[in-house]
Order: sequence, then C-alpha cells, then structure tokens
Amino acid sequence: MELIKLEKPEKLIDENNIRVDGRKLNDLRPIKMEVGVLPKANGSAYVEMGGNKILASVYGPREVHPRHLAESNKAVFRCLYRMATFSVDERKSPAPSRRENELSMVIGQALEPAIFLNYYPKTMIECTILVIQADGGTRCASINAASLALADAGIAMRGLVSAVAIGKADGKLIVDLNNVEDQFGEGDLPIAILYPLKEVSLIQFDGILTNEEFQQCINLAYDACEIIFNKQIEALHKRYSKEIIEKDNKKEA
Amino acid sequence: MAIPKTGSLVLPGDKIGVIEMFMPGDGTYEENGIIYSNILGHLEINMKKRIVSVKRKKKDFPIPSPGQVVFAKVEQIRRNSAIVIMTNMDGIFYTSSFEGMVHISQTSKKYIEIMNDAFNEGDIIKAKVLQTDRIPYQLTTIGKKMGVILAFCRICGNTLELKGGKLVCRQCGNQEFRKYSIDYGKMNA
Amino acid sequence: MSSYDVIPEIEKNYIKELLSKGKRLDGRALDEFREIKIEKDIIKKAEASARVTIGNTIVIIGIKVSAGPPYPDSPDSGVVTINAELLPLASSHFESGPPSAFAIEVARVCDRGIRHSDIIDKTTLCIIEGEIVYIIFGDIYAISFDGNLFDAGELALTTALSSLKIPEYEIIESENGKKEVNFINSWKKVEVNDIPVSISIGKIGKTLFIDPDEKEELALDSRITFTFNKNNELISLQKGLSGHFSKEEILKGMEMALSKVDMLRNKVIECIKDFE
Repeated sequence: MELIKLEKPEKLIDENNIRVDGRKLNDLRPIKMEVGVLPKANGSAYVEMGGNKILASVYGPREVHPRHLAESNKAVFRCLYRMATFSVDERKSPAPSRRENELSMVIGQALEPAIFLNYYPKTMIECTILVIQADGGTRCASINAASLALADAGIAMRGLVSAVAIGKADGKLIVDLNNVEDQFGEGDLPIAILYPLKEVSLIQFDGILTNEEFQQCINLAYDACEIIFNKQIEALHKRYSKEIIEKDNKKEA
Repeated sequence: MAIPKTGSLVLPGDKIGVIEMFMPGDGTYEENGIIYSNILGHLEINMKKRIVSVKRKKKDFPIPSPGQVVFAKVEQIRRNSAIVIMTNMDGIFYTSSFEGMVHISQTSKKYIEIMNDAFNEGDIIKAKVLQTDRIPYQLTTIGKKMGVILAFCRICGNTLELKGGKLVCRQCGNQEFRKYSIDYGKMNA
Repeated sequence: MSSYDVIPEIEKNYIKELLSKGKRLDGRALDEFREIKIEKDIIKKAEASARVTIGNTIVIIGIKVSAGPPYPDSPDSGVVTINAELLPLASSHFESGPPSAFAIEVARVCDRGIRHSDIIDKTTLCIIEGEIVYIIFGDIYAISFDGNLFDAGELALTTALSSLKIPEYEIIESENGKKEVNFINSWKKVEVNDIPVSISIGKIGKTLFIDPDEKEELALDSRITFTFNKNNELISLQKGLSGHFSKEEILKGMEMALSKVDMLRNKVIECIKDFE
C-alpha cells in the first residue's frame, strides 16, 4: 500500500463518498496480524493496519524491578509505547516524547482491565510496543497488537481488546482514519473495546462532534471493532491451530 | 450455545460452558452464569466430575508456587540466611528469574551455626519453594535431594568434586563443607 | 538488575565445558554462523531500510535524510550519524531509558565499520560547501536479541546504505543573502563503492568461536569484532568485554573472520542486486 504524502487535499471525501485512499466511509484499511513473531519474547505480535506497522512484545510475569514497586496482591503491568525514529516523515528524536509517554499510559490503561493481574501477585508484566511505521491511528493498532501479544504470552485475560479510530472529515463520519484524515479531518475518536464484556476501555476525542454524531461514532466503533476482533482471533488460531495439527500428524506417524 | 470439543484451541474470552452444566476449573472464569476461558490453551472437559478447564498452551511456568523444586544460584550469604536467584524448575522455565531466600533454620535437618557452613556465594543449589506470600520467596533445602549441587573452591574458584562424602577442589586439593544434595554434580537443566 | 548478574550459572558452566571439547550448545561448529536472512525496503517512510535476521537475533534499520549544516572541521562533507536502540521489546534484559553503554558500543562499532570504508564518499553529500550538506541518520533497532548485534547491525547498515536514495534540492537565495534548500520531489541514488562486513568472534576459556548467541554472550570472557572492506582489508576492530587475547588468538580470530567475509558480503550483494 502506497503511503499518501502529507499535504492537505482539496477534499477528504469526494461526491461519491470515496475517501482519499479509495475507501468507502465505513471501510477499514487492510489488516495483517501475526502472532509469535519475536522468538525471545514470552509473547509477541506484528500488526499492520494500512500503513501502520507495529510490533509488540510481552515479557513476564517476572520479578519487579525496583522491588519496592511490587504489589502484594497483583502484578504490576507496565506498558511502553515507542515510535522508531524513521516511522514518521521527519526523523523523530530517539528520546521519548511527551506524546509517547502519554500513549504508554493510556494504552496500558486500555489493556489493564483485560488482564487478571491478581493471578500473578508480586510480579511484573511488561509490554513494549514499537511503531516501525506510522500512518494515523497508531494507538489503536498498538492496542490490537499488544492484546495479541498478551494472549500469545499465555497471560490470564478476560478476553481480547480491539481498537479503532472513528472520525469526521468533510462533515461525514469515517472509520479507521489514515494519517491525512487524522491531520486534516474534523475529529478523531479512538475507542478500544474489551471483549467479551463489550465495554469501552479507551476513549479519547479531539475535534468537534454533535451529540447525534457522537452516538453514531460509538456505534460505528462497535461494528468496526467486531471485524478487528475477528481478525485477532483468526491470527491466534492461525498460529496455534497449526501446532495442534502437526502434533496429531506426529502421533499418527 | 455450541460448546467446543475437548482438546480444541480456545482463546481468552471464549465461551466454554454455563454453570448449570459445569464447574469452572483451571484457566477459566465465570461471569453471569457463563464460563469463559481466561487463557490461550486447550479445552479439557471432565464429564465425570463435570469440570471444564483450559490447559495452558505455553510450556514455561508463570511464577513460583509452593512445592516446586528449583535450581538457584547463591547470590549473597547473610548471618542467618542466604539470598538466591531462582532460575528454573525441573526443566520448565520461569518467564524470568526470581529472588528467593533460604533461612538458616531451613537449610538442613542438622544444626547449622553460621550460613557459611552450608553454602557459599556462587554455589548452585537445588531447593524447594516453601511459601510465596512474601518477597523474597522462602525456600528450603532440608532433605537428601536438596542442597548444593555445584560448588566452587573458596581459594582458587575451581569446581569442587564430591569424593567419599567430601567436597574436594580439583585444582588445589582444598577440602570444604557444604550442605550438599545426593544429586551433587548432576545437573540436567 | 542487569541481566548479566542472573545468568543461569548452570548453563554457563555447561557451555564452557562443551566449548572446551569444541562443541556448542546449539550444535554449531566453532566457525559456523547461524542462518542469515537480509531483507531491504521494509519501511516506506524511511529513505532506506533493512531487516537482518541471524538465528533468533533480529534487527531493523531505517535511514532518514535531511539537509543541515556540516561539521566545522569538514565543511565539504555530509554528516552520517548511527544510533542503536535496545528497547525492552528485544529482550527481557533490556530496559527503557537512555541508551546503555552497550547500545552505544553497538552503534559505535557499526558506525566505525562504515566510516573507514569507501561505502559512501561523504564529499558527494555536500550541497553548499560550508553551509548545507546532507545529514544521514541511521537508526538500528534490536527487535529480538539473541546475541551478536554487532554483525547484524553492520549487515543492516551496509544493506540500507547500499539502497539509499537521497532527496534532490534546489538552492534558493533569500533576500538577505541566506541560502536555503527546497525539495524538488525527485530522488537520486547515492553512489556506493564498498560493502564492509563485520564478523564477531567470542572467546570462552581458550576457545574461539564465531557469532556468539545470547547464552554464549552471557558466558563470554571476551569478544573481538573485525570489519573488512571489499578488498578484505581490515578497516575496524573492537575488542569487547574484560577478557584478554594472546597475540596468536587475535591472529587466529582474524583468520576465522576472514573465512566468512565472502559469505556475508554475498548475502548483502544478493539482497541489493536488483536495486536500481
């Protein structure tokens, strides 16, 4: 998929309701998900959503450092979101920015309710997310990747977390914003949904929306997350069902 | 509701039963009468006991729990205890190393006056996890199979060999005492 | 806590014992590399990029190019800066925070490997002498750590530089006489004249071996990294860790390294051959 240069287009949506990258209003970008990509991590995942390329790893449960941060009744969940210097148009400084620190926190808070932290007292679960290419909506793609990596690590969870950004451009509501729509649109509403509860664990908004539009946005998010959720399930099955088949074949042989 | 078969792959959040039919076992949780898997693994349905559980897919053992036998490296000898770093258990690896402690009273059946009579820094010991309520985790080396399985000479640092019930340095002939295991020298990590 | 304190001592002893018999934990010969895979152009936002896999070690590199002032002592040369990031993504032993001494060593060794080769003639990276030159940033990210980041980083760097395209600028003189550059939406290839490769040799006890993996690195007494240019001449050398080498060992290590140079270089050539 070709990346779109960051220039404000005349229109973000044309008269036939087609967006700058050829999508319809409710279309998601192409999604690719892979689990268990980093051999040294306890769990890992690689996610592509449009031009976003995200790696996530999970280590733990492990010993807490420094030890005084350990909690006697549950694990400490630490989430680190970082962007590679070359993931954006202008080289980013390798030092973490305020934005990265904030995203580390909100992504962590979106995932934490999904994890049974009380199963692993006095330990730490560490999740690291590296954006190697950014194209709008990295926090949502990161949540999708991190949730897969947690499941891959065999951590006890309530369920998976799926996320998508809903937004508004040229007065119309659109699903899964790309970089241009994110920069020049009228609103960006990332939402993460916690399955199987189907409750919201991340919601942020910048822009301007009427009350009706906001309600519609939430409904759109639920529909879009359902698609992403199914892709996540597919990725985990693809990784682990194969092993079962191989095992069975070995038994027969 | 279609319930998956025994042995099939289930993911965290997958519905695997209702409490009218089954008791929720390991790897599951229950909410509003529905039993869900909480882990990526294989479904196990025990029709006799009517328990549904999920067996963890990954082999590494998550965290130390009482009763486990561990290998550990002695990091620090204190007056009445030894601080050790636990690494793995019977070939199943923890996801990281954990810090443990052997109190002098839990070192041997016999009376040990000072910790240095039992272990030395750098020794590898085999120990059993006693309790995990506090950090560091409490371990014991009481028992024939528990104790030092690899020790190093206090003078020259070379490996000690077990000869006729005594630990002797291969290099300099120095003789040393330890609370050693009958499995001394046998390490199948 | 640094990982290097909590190595499974049992394994360390076992590795030492095996090596003294000329064997390795993963069954490799002493002069055998793990499987190497090189891919280029994996990130579209970067001017050049590559991913290198050596066994379970994976690194990616992205190169970004911009225009800026030269160093005062070389007004007609472009600036090339190499940086390495070892995030906790790659290993449970890496911690977040400012670059560790190890990360800096990786970056420095990779950087020196290209600095003393002819891979890029830096004077071709000059736009206006003394005022504006190309600034090239190469950022190496370890994404999975199983030892030998030096060789993986150098392979990635060489591959990426060999497929680098830099933006073309027009020079504009503003009213106050200050010169500025403006991107004219076209790209040109950088001329590449060399393919430097590095080979790391580990030493445990008296045994030398190629391409240490993570477990071996934890048990290493010492390490030495040789970098060679296209004529197989030594262009950079780094002894690492607190061990020591005899004269004979250094020469033997160099011989072992030289026997792998062509194999590594061919992997890079194979990857970049279809680049226009």
